[in-house]
Amino acid sequence: MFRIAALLAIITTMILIASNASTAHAQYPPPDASLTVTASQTTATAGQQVTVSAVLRDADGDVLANQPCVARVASQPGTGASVSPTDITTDGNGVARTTLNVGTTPGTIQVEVVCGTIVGRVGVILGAAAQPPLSPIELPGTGSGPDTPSAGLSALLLLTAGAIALLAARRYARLGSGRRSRGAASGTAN
Amino acid sequence: MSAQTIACGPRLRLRAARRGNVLAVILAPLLIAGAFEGYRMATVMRHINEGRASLQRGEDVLETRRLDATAVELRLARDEFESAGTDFAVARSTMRRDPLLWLARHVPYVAHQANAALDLAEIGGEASVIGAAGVDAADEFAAIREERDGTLLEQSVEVLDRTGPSFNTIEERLSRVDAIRSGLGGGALVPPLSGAIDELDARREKVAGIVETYGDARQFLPVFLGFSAPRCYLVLAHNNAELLPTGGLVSVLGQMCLDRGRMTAFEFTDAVEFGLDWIRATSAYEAPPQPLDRYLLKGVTWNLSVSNWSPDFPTAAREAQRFYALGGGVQVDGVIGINVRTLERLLSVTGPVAVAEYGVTATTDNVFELTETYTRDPSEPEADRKEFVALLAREVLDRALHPEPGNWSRFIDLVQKLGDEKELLVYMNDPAQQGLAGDMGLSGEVGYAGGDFAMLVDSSVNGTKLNAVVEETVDMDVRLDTSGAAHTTVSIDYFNNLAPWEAGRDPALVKKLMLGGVYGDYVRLYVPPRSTIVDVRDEHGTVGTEEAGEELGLTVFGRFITIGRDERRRLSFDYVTPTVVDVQSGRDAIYRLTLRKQPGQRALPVTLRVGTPEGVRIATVSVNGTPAEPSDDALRFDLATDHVIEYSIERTGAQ
Repeated sequence: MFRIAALLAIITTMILIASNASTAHAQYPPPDASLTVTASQTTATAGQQVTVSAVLRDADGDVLANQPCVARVASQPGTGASVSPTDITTDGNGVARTTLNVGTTPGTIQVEVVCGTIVGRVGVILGAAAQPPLSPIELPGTGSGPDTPSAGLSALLLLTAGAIALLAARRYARLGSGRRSRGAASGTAN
Repeated sequence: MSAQTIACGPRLRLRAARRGNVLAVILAPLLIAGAFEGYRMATVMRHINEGRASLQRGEDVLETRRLDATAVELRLARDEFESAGTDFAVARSTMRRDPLLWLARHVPYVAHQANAALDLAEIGGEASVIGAAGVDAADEFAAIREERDGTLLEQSVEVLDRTGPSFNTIEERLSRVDAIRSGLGGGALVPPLSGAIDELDARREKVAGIVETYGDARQFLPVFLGFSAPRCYLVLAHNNAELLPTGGLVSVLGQMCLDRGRMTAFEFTDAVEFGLDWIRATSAYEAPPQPLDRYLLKGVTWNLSVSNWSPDFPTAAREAQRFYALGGGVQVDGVIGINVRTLERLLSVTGPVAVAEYGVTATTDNVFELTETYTRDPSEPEADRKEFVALLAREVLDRALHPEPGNWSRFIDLVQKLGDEKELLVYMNDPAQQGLAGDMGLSGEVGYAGGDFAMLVDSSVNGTKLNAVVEETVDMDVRLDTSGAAHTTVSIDYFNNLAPWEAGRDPALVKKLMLGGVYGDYVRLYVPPRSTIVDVRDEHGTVGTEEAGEELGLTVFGRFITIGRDERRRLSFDYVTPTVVDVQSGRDAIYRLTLRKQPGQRALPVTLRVGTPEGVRIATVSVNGTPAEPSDDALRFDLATDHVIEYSIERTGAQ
C-alpha cells in the first residue's frame, strides 16, 4: 500500500520512457573497423618477453590484411619496458605481432597498437600485486538453520495461534486427565 | 470351598463396595473438573481457530485485492480483523484466568512455555489491530481514488497525509509487538512455539520494512514532487539495445518541472541535436575515459549521450548534469534514468497503445522496433525524430496517471519491479533526498559493503543496437581457500544471435540498427577492493587485461572483445580476492557474495559454484534470504535483480 507513494513519484518519469530508442550516431563517429589487442600473458615476471597480437577487422567483421600498424608502450611504471618491432603489418589473418620486453619495474605496462585511426590496447602486469594473507582462518564447527521465508504477518499469526492451540490442548488434556495434585488444585479453583 | 471362605464373601463385597464409593467420591469431582476444563479448552481452541480463520480471510482480501479492493471488500476485511481481535482477546482472557495455566506459569520450564503462549496470543491481538490499520489505509486510498480530482502526482501527498495515521498505528503496534517479543527472551521453547517465534521475527522485519519505506516516502515525495518548492529534473532516456553502464546510450533528454505535483514544464530534447548544438557552438572538447575514446568516440569529445561511463548512477548523473549545463541546459534538482525495458514493462500493464497518426499499435513485443523504425535518421532533413515517441508517450502517460479500475495493484507491482531491476534510477542533488532515494532502492549507487562482490558491466562500443539480440550467460566458479580468500573465475559466454532477428526485416532497417553485425563490447568486472588479476582469457587462451585498477571502492578489470555476426565467444577473468569469508564469533563462517545487476541489462542466467578447502563444508545456502538447494553443486538463477547469496560454512563432520 505504502508503495503507491513511490509509484506516484516514479510514474512521472515514465513519460519519457518511450523516447529512448532513437538512432543516434552523431555522438560518435560512424563505426568503421575494430582492433583487438591481446597479450600472451596477463601477468609476467621481470625480464620476460610477452607476445602482443593485434587483430584488425572491418565493420563487417572481416579481417584486414596487409595493413600497416604501429606498436608502442603507452604507459609503464618505469622506463625499461619496450616493444620490438614497432612497425608491424597485419598478415593474411589480419593479425600483426610484436614483442614486449616487460623490463624490471613492477606495475602495469600498457601496449598500444595503432592501425590508421584505429587504436587498441592491452596491459601486462609485472609482479602481480601482493597476494592476500594466507594465515588460516579458524572455522567453527557448528551450523545454523536457514533463514525463515516471509509470507505475511497474519500467516505468522496463524502459526502462532496454532502453536498456542496445540500447547493449550496438550496442557489441558494432561491436567484434565488426572494428575492428582493439579487436578485437585483445578477443582478448588473452579 | 470351605465354610470360612463362604462366610468371608459378604464382607469382601461390602469392603469392595465401600472402596467403590470412596473412588466415586474422589473421581467425580475430578471428572467434573476435567469436563469443565475440557469445555474451557474447547472454548479457547474455538476462539483461536476462529481468530486464525478471520485473520486469514482478512489477509486474503488485502493480499489479493490490495489497492483495487472495493468498499464492500474492505468492509469485509475490517470485520474479519475485528472478529480476529475479539477471538484472540477472549482466548487470552480465558487462558489468563485459568488456574491450571496460572499454576503452570509458576513451574520452572513450563512457565516459560506458558508465558510464551500467552505472549504470542497477545501478539495475535496486536496483529489484528495492524490488519485493521491496513484496512484503514486502504479505505483512505480508495476514497481518494474515487474522488478522481487531479492526477496521481497531485494526489500523492494527500494519500500520504491521509494514510499517515494508519501507518502511525501500525508503527505503534509494531513497537508493542517488539516489546512483547523482547520479553520472550531466548530460552528453549517447544517446537510449535519456537517455530512461531522464528516466523514472527521474519514477519516483523517485513512489516518494519514497510513502515520504514513508508516513512522514507513520506519525507521524499513532498520534496520530490515540488510541494515544498518547485523542482526540475533532467530525465535521461537510455536505449538499452545499445547498452552502456547505467542503462544504455542516452538518446533523448527530458526536462520535467513539478510544482505541487503538477507538471509545469515537460520538454523532449533529442540528445543528438543537443550534443551537436553544443559542439557547433563551442567546439569544445571534453576528454573522455580512455576506453570510451579508444573504441567509440575516437577523438570526438565526450558528450551527454555517452556520459554514463560509470556504472554508479550518482556519478553518471553528475556527469550528465555537467554536460547538460555545458550545452545550455538549466540547473536541475536531480536526474531520473529510465530505459526501453521500462517502457516494455509499462505497456504490459497499460495494454497495447494505439498511435493513430502512424496507424500502428505499440505493444511490449514491438515497441523497440516501432520506435526505431519511426525515429528517423538525423540525416533526413524533414524528419522529426521526436514525433512518434512524443505521441506514444502522451498516451502511455495518460494511462499511467489514470489507471483503470483493477489495475492499481499491477502498477504498484510494476514500480516495485522496475526499482528492483534497476530500470528506474533517481539521483537527487540534495544529499538528504539522495539518501532517501537510496533507502528506497532507487539510487543505483555502486559501492562495496564487505564480503565478496561482483558486477559485470557491458558497454556497447561499436555503435550498434545489437544488445537487442546478443545472448549472454555467466558462469562463476569460486574456490575458497583456508585464508578465506576467493579464487574466482567469471566466464561470460556471448552469442551474437542476429540471424533470427534479421530474417524478414527490411534490410535497410537492419543495416541502420546493426551496421555490419559486429558487436563490440568493453567488458568490465567490478570485484572486491585489492583483488588481483591472474588471467584474462578468451576461448583460445590468454588475451590479457586492458584495465586493472580501483574505482568506486572496488577493483575493476576491463577488456575489449568483439563478437561477429552469429558468433559465439567466451571471455574469462581469473582473479583472487582478499579475505572475504566472515568468521563470526561462536557461529558459522559466512561467505556472502553480492551480485549486482547492471541497469538496462536483461536478466542474465548465472551459474554459481562455490568450493571450500579441505576440512570444511557448506552447511546451508540462501539466496536473498531464502534457503536454496544447489543442484549438481551449482546454483542457477537469472540476475533480474541484485542478488545476495550466503553460504554458511562449518567443519567437516560437525553436527
